[in-house]
Amino acid sequence: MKKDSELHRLELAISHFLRWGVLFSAALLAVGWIGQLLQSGDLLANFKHYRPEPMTAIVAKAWTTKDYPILISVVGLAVLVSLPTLRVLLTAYLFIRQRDFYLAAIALFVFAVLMGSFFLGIEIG
Amino acid sequence: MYELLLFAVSIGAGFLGALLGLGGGIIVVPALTLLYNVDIRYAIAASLISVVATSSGAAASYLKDSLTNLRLAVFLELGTVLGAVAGFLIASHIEAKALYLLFAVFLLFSALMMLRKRSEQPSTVNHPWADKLRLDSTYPDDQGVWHNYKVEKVPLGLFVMLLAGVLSALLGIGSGIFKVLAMDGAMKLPIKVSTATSNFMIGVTAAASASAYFLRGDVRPEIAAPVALGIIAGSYLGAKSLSKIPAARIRQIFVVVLAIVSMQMMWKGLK
Repeated sequence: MKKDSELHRLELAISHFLRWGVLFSAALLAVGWIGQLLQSGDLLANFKHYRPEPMTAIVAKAWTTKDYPILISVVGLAVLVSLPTLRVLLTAYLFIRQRDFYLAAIALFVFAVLMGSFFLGIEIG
Repeated sequence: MYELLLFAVSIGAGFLGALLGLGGGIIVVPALTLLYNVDIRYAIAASLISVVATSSGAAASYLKDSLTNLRLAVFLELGTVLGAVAGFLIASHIEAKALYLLFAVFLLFSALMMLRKRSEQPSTVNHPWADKLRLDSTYPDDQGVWHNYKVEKVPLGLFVMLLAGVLSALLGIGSGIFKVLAMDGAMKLPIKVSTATSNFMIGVTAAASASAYFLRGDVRPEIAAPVALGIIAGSYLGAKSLSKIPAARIRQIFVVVLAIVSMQMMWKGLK
């Protein structure tokens, strides 16, 4: 099972890379959140009732009011949600390299669904 | 001040989650809704983000001990991501009230599952799909002896994964409980393999709906930033102190807490 152990080794490399991704996004979130705390008082009071507001509107508002802490936090969150999607794409690549086309096709399909899910958020939003 | 407290609660959620083998979602959603009166939709979205963070950050350690079945994980992710997309669509059409009630049922179910003794009945035959996709594998036991295992009832397992995906998106959880049920219950995998493989899959499951919630604007940076940060820090601490804390005792206490919180969520849903 040499092929499987190579697969395992490469996937482990992907996971280490992902861990750095999580730390990078955590750093952005920390900076963003501390900035938010210094800037305004009660951050949570506005969320007692659900008022839909698409991410594009949140970013546009933060951009015009130069609210950098919010912008940095949003980038941190975007990095975070993208990490699993990236992992699935890299895993698909590993399966293709091993000429394991069934599993590669499955991984690519999962990747496609994950990408589609981003658009779903825009459509409905 | 409240924000710092939320950060502290999230550290606690991450810590307990790592200790008990649960995702943070089961603690974060009730904490945000019951203690902070945050609307459950924002709570679910923030919770999903923290599930992505913990699972992605810990994937390397699940792979390192050779218990995670990568091929099976990728195959079953097919079910969880499709389920998650369906769950996101369902969540857009039902009232917050229903989400509270569903969450209350989920908490009770989790409490019952925590009392369950997981039994091991390894299978000796592969389902045809498992042969075709080479889903069977080997794993090392505590003594370091390697065992072969086969994979049964693959279609049933995939179907339960679909449901796990729906519930993940609806409730903002990683759905590890349902994944484990599919893997060692239906597909007859060794317990250690099913736990590790489930943990490995959780990040992708949560990301499937988290990305949709994110662009729709439900992941509010004001809430998600302290929650995700706290959970990352807490689960790191929890994993470190795993061997020094009597997890069995905490587990018993936690079952009672889950039952009480379940009642409160039900109350909030009915009000």
